Amino acid sequence: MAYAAIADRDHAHALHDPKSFITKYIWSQDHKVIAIQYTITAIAIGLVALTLSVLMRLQLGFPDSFRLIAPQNYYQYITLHGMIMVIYLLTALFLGGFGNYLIPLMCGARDMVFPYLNMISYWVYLLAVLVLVAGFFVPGGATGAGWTLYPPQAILSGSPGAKWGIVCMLASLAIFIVAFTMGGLNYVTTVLQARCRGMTMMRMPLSVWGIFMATVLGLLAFPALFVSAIMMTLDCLLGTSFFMPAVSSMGQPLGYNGGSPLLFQHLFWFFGHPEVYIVALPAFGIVSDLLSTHARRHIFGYRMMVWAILAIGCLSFVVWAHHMYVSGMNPYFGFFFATTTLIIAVPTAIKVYNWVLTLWRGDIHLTVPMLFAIAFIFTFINGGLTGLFLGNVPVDVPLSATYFVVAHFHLVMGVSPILVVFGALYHWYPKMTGRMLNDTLGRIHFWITFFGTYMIYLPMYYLGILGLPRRYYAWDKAIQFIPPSVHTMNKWITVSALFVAAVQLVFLFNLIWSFFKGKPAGGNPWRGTTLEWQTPDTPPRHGNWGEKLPVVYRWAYDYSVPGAKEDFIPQNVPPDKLAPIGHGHH
Amino acid sequence: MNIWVAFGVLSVGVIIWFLLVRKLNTRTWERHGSSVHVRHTRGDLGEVDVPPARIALWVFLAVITSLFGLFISAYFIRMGHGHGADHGMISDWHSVSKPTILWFNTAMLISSSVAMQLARGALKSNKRARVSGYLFAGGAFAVLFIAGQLVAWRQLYNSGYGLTSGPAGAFFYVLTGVHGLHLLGGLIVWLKTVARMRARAVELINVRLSIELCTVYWHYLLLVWLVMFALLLST
Repeated sequence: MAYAAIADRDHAHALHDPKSFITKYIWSQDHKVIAIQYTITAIAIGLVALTLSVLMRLQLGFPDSFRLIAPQNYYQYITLHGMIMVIYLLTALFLGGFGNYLIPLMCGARDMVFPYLNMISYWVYLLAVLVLVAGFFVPGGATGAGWTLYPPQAILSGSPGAKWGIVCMLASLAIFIVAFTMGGLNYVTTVLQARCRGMTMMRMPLSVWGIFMATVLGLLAFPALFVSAIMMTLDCLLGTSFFMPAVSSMGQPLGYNGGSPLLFQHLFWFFGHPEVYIVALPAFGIVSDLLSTHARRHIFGYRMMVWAILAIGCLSFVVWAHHMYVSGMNPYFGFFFATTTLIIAVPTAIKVYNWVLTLWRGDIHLTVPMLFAIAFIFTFINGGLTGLFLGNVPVDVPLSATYFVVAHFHLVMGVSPILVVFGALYHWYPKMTGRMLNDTLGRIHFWITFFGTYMIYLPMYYLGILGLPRRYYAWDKAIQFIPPSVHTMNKWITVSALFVAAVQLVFLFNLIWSFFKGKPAGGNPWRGTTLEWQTPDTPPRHGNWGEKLPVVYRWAYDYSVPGAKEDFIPQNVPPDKLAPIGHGHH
Repeated sequence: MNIWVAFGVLSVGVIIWFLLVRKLNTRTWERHGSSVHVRHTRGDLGEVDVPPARIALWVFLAVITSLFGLFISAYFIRMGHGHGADHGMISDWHSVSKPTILWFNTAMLISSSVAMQLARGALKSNKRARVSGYLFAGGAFAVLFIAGQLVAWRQLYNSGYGLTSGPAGAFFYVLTGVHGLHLLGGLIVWLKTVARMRARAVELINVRLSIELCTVYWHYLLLVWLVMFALLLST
């Protein structure tokens, strides 16, 4: 067999088109179908997590008014809300959804390099979601250990779901990691090996860079969660003592001896902190492309943006213990992690400056994706700056486990990436379906979500500074120093949360309605330069590019090039097709 | 943090930076560069670029390195290093007696790796019978290794060190178990390769990549085992 570089293979050589409905839409090996399967599953389970957050807010805003929310339920909601949002929604949506959809299209490939593995990856992910949901229905219900699942309390009676709920959670995580590893091998290998002619790494759109680096982080960090899940399952089911110290329950010793709960914390956060960037880096990449496209201006400092992504990726492995300042660590240890934590702010700040400078003197179109992208910058700065406070040990110690932390991480890694998810869906929905999302509904969705989240989280900073502890089911009678105004504020936050949750239904309606009734989009509605907008069909067919693969001649950001006929030059336009004075970017 | 850690981090950083800069400038669609060219001139097997499966295997090896590395660091922390055992605090760690059969198992795994390497070498001279012979031997030795590990489990259990006997015993089962599962995964790929070899119509050239990648994976798991074995013996 003569071997041809992937960039030279024709359609028939590379792929076999599916014949039946089932191979086309269900057991599909097409990266675009798998991407949509991932997206739909992630959004579905995300809606469960959204509902859980509403239930929590109802309890916090109007304590004792809702009999169905018992304390143990509240803890189950907290746990599942956190775990689903971080892993099963954001990680799966950014990497499984956008990663699958964008990597082959933006790199000019026909598909992922291992389509079969890609398909298995989705089905194993679905299995992980089902096992997770099964946790609600096992005896004792889902685990209520908090999303960090800290032992010993996670598997001691007294925590909700300490018997079977926690086992479902750990099993689901292990299955998810297997699914992610299969997908991740595909994403990395595709980016490294299957780029079309002319697509050097330094010509790749930043979306691909962000997704690529996030995948690398995931591949190296998820094993830590895997290790802790295996050892905790053994502690729980077979009575080993990896993490469990000697404990008595109701006066009876439980047979555990000498295990180290701190070891679990180290393993968990060795995964947990890179996880923040697994969610953030794809958002960084995608938002760069949204800003550039809708401001009709090249991204400012492309090379710097790439190096910042790489630097953030490397640094994210040496900051994990800043989640453990109150665990009684050696002060030198804390000093080291405070330093690395603050250093990571440097590449992050570079990215923020570059986004702002991309907008500077751009031809800004306030489309819905652009609104979300700009909202991301605001929100990320708001959330990120408070990270500087929490990164310092002496400031963190009093603020630890208060609502200040809740506000910080929700803004920086909850709301910010979700805003990018929305922007990206509005941006690429036309390519996925061939139809535009409704603009008016989009604007309603945007403004209520944007303002609503600020109504929710900005007051929480204040509550945190007052010392309001997080994770409490109720505190009105328990904690004397909480002033009455806090209760009023909590009502306000809950009402805002209800609005924000409700407006997501408008978005959901828009997604479904526009699929049938939306305005036809054409191939390139945003006049984008990147390859996915240059496909011969919209939505792209199996194999993406028809007979011949595209050839790339320029970077992804040739917007408003002086002298060019239009205000954008797609990546696959050769230099000799341009007007004589219009020189492409080097 | 002492100066050596800082120095180590710095050198790793420089190496990574160097590799990245090289990788950023590669053009996978062009047929030059890398070791590929050399092989091509030597003649022979028609391949001019790094196939995706090879890249994927190396990425996967990085993932397993992370996995075993974390298991091993968990092992040290659980032993008490980092939790004050070095400073006179009491640890509940009691080492277990290692079954002697582990030495036999190690010999099996080394033989397995050697046989796979010989199979890979025989590919070059295009001798089908020798390739399948060595390939089969490689897998057979690996099966013996796994059987031996199970015997080791049994012996350890019978000498009173069950899963709940203490951290050293529990870690022994977990580490060897996870390593064994990885080898089992390799054996599935090996089985598929052997099955393809038996089909007459298949040219040697079509299974070459599978055999090469199996060999790399085998060597890697041998390395992991040697590190783990040394760790288990020394603690």
